[in-house]
Amino acid sequence: MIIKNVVCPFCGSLCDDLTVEVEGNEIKNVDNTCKLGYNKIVGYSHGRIEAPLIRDKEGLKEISYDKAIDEAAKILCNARRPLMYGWSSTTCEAIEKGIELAIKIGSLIDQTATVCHGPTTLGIQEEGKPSCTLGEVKNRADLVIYWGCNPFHAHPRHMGRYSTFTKGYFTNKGRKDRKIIVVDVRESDTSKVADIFLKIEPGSDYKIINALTSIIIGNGDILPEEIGGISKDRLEYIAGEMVNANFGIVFFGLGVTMTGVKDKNIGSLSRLVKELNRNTKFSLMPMRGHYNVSGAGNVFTWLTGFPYAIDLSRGYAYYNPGETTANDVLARKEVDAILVVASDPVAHFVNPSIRRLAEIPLIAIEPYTSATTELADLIIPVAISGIEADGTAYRMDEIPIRVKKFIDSKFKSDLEILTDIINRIDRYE
Amino acid sequence: MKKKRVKLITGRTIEQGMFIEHKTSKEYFDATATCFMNERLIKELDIEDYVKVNTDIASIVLRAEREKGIPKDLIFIPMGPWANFILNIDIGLSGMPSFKGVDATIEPTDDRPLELKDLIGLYKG
Amino acid sequence: MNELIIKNGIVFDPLNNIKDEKKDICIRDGKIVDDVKNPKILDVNGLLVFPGGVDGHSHIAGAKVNSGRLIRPEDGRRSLKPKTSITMPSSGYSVKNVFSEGYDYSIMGYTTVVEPAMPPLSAIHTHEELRDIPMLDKLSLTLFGFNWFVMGYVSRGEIDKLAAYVAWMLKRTRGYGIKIVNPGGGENWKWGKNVDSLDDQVIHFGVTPREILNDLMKVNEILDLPHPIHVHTNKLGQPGNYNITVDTMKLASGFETQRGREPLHITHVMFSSYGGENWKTFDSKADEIAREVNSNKFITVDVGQLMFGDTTTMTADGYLEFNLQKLTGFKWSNSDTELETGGGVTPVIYSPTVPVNVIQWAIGLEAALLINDPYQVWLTTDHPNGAPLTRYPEIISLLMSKEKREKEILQVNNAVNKRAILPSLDREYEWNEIAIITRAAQANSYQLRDKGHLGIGADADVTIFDIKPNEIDPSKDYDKVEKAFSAAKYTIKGGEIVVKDGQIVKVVSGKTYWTNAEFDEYYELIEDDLKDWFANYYTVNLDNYGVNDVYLTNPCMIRTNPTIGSRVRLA
Repeated sequence: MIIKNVVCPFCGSLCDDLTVEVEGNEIKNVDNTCKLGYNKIVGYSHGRIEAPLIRDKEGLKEISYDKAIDEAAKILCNARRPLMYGWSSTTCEAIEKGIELAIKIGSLIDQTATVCHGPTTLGIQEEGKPSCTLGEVKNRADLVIYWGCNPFHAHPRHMGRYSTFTKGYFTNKGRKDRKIIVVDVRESDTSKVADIFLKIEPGSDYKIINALTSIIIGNGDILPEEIGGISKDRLEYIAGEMVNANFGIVFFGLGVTMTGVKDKNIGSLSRLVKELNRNTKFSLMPMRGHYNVSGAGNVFTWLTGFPYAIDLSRGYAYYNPGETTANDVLARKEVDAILVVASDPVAHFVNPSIRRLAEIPLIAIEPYTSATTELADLIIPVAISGIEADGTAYRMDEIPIRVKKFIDSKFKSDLEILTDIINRIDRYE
Repeated sequence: MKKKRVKLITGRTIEQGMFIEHKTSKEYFDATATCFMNERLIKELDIEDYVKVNTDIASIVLRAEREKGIPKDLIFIPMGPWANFILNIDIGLSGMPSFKGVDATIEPTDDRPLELKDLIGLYKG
Repeated sequence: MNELIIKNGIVFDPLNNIKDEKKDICIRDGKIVDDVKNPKILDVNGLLVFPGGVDGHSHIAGAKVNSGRLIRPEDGRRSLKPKTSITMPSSGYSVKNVFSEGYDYSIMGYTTVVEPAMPPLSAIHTHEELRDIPMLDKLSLTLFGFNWFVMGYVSRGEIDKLAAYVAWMLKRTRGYGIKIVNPGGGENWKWGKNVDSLDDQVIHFGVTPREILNDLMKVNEILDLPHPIHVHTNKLGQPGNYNITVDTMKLASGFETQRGREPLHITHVMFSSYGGENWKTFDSKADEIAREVNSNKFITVDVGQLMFGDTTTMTADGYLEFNLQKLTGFKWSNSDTELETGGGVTPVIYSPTVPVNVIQWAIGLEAALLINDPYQVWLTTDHPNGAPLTRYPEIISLLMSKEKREKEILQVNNAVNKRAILPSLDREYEWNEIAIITRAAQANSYQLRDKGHLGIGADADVTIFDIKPNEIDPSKDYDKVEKAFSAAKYTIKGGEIVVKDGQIVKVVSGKTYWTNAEFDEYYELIEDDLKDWFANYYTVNLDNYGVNDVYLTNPCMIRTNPTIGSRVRLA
């Protein structure tokens, strides 16, 4: 059976034009996909955890699903300071259920933006987010800037589908109608296709962004001759390109959110875009990593009022990044149990946080052996959303698309497992 | 032994992404237990195949790989358990640890990178 | 059988011409009935009884609202309330979380609310939030005002295709009716520009706001849609815009409809009733607007009242938000949506010491007081643009009491005496008129036959306020009025008591209405265009576009009778 217009459950580009060939209950082939999506979809059955596992002195041992739900409920109910973490690679429906559970048990809850575009959130909470959908870029953009991101590697079809090579209504010559600028600290496959590559000193983003803003508002005379490894002349040239574009966009990645003054970088980038809009049309867009990290932020926000790093122990949502963010509460050794859903924090958190993860009961709802399952005390295998379970996901430009289920799984979905845990806790109460 | 101060950045690569769901595979190990460096830096330190990267919190051994586009005072490690082993929590207000632009020193080594299981084992006990 | 009788209330039910009448109301299985056998008795001895409130224009769900929540954690931190044994945690003052939206409306006696700006491409998002809002029945209006298909069909005069497209889109987005924001101008904003009159051209598309409005009004009628075209005028929020507002209203003049309702609704008219040439010469033209409304029975308006304080503005009119941000310097978000629509969000602080804000405040009240027929003017704040929804009780007390207004006028900048006429207006709203502008008029305009009244067969949505209309004088006891409207004695939703003494006592999930205006072969008419444009210009596949019923709580489809040439509706 050929299934068309399948939505790829890998990165924030959320391409929805994949063709999947399914025979029996097996995937035979996938077309229209990048290597990342291909490997995830074709390799979906590889290395799966086959049954619920619990850790004792000898190691992991199989238990029944019912017992696993029981253990999970017990761990969460007995914890005084639980944390629920992950969420960016599952459906909005599961995330909603997760928040319901967090509210019920008075948990901390955080999502992967905390080690990704968390600073973007803080920056736009300061300055706002002048943005647009990817189709606006496709149809209009004549200047595209990739700042601190490398879509060739992280979002392989982004440039082809949305932002560089694609043809659109007012850009019917595609690449020829667009000027491409890449800003990075090193050459990358993305910088190789740029018209202009600004190789800047590490950590100098803030200076350079503000220098561009100064030039654009007419205060360029206060600038030194060189900023962050770039000459003032060159920055004036770049500012001119920005002002003279008809429709410009800055895509930015973790090269901006993770370096230097982090959230302040994003605030200043937003201010730059705001100033540009006095002269022309300009937008910015974070290159979101996981396919539904944008959805996680959205669901968190409409249900609790805040996008991540939420402490529900008081009965209401307390939000204070830097205090309630996952790495902070772990490194402070506050957290005494953790539930991980659709994420691998042991692979992606920093050393002091992982040390805490090794000390406390860790429940992982996870399809594969991962760094996190190496430390987990309880592992509940799960159907893979976007392949074995359907639901809603949000693209990096906050457009919701329903991901499909095209394989039957013997495992329950994140949504079902979380529902079972909630019901089990209800039974205890 | 020669030592040198560098800035460490971590980030995605396509290979890291391709095998992210296969964390125990050789491909994932090859993709992420690796340090990308400028050729001149490798020569300067007489690094052969492996490099030890030290930060304020820990040290790790990685396979050294040449990369042309990277500046001489920078090293790049794909995001993942190996890179993060040497990253510290950042006392700041954003809740975001520093994954890029971290101060590090590097030196040649004859040791080999740890397998995932052994690496994670270091966190226990 | 679930029966309830509300005894001895003083009932105002304008749509059934019941006014100030001591009357029992019988309820069975969620509906108003003529008698009951073994009911639970609720003796409300002399208290004020209204149909459940209907808010015809309130931004409660979707991308813009969430963007407001996202950029304003400082607003989220206001009004934090912990969960209770039955309710979920609340957050937010002007941009509330979904739970708080439902609870706050219900506590004030509202039972039905319309989200008036759904971007088609993110319609799933709108419906996900609507699904999660408890306590209320919900509707949403789909945005069409600068959509490329619409402008293409208008420019080529293809009215049949335009009708087919609107019908298709309402079905795909589960929308209730046609919303038009800054017709044509929104497309120009995608190049950083706007339109200045009804006859300005949209860049590249060669159509004018006048043509877009006229053709969508025709299509609204062809498709027999229950609600008028719902229009946010061009130049909204700009000094001197009252002219274009009056011009827009005149488009509807003489346009008779089969349903006997107005063909055109002008929304949050306060923001469209500005005089002056700039902010320095800014003044109220509410009198000019009211004159047009009073002589033009083909339109309705809603107030969009502004109240002093901090709020969040949000609209599909991105140009407006950008310009507002230029005045305030506050944070600003923009969200242009491919081929369809746009939007913006920015916070604002309306101050009683700022002349412009004071005049804006006066304009809304003036419009409400100068428009004679209360069925032509609904009470809204354009939540949260003019003020958060929780400010309704205060506005009701202002409309009912000249004394209260005089007291307020003393507190605000003197511009109110020079560049507005509010101080000279003596009218005071009566209970019955309040029931119209908060319930009956809106139910009527949306043709929600089971809403906004207490006749036999209506949904048993009833509000009982803790005030005795025959014992107080709202003109003098305005504080009591405000208090009573802030917290209902009882809110009854679908026959169940959901609020008692201003507290949520039961959490329920409401219905979601949408309009199905399909007609024979409507899809074939536009299929090639859809396939072509989706393949070439959209970034989402046609197959993956739109919403289905899994996102709707208790979906209620309203079927219409389109008449298009010889076509008839599908059986």
